[in-house]
Amino acid sequence: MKVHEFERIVTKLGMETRDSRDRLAWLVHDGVTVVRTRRSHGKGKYLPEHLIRQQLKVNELQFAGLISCDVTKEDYIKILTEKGIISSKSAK
Amino acid sequence: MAAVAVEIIKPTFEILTPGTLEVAEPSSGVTKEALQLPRQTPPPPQQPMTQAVLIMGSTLPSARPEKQICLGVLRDPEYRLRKPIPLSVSVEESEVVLAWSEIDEFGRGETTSAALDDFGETLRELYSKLHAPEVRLGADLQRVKQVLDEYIEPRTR
Repeated sequence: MKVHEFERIVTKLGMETRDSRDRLAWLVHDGVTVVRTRRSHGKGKYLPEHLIRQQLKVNELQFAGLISCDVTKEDYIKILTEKGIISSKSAK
Repeated sequence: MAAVAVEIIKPTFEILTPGTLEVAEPSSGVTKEALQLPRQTPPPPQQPMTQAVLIMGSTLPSARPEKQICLGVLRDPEYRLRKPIPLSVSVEESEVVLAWSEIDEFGRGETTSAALDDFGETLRELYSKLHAPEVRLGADLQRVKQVLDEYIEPRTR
């Protein structure tokens, strides 16, 4: 995947980021950190799409939707809630 | 008394003796047919030798098969391994990618050594993040933290 696709997901989901050796991204929902992912710095670096997808806990179709406009943040929260990664009490 | 016609059939072969340099042309008649090759007929159609093989799975097999290695030592001044971490090794777009499927973590680099360094650094950052006192973790990251605690511990000074 491309760097701008990664960044599109990070922006869409409102993930917290920190630039360290890599660019780290965390999804915090209602004060709880629920998923994390990362990418290397630099546009030419290889980003292992399938591993980033697994970190985000989505299937290929959902991941493609995150990159495009098909899956919104609300959709993603619902996906994580259905998987039990977000507690249904805190899901809105 | 009935006459019986007896036809003397000439032999259709010729016995060659040692020293024979030339074979005489057969005389006309039956003997020439014996020299003709049988009519060639194509064999009946059969199943082709090569057939397409359906491969079940999302990806085609790589020419360089995935293998497993174990990370036995963490080159870190603060943390060390309690036990080796099993990693799958693959080469993707000329990069070595190491993946720890149990917690969906990976490292990558131009060489296996560089990928191991990347993976070690990643583990260090992940461990410290998940053990930060102010962080509240969801169910999956709590599990990740537990797995990390099985494999990693702070070095005692």
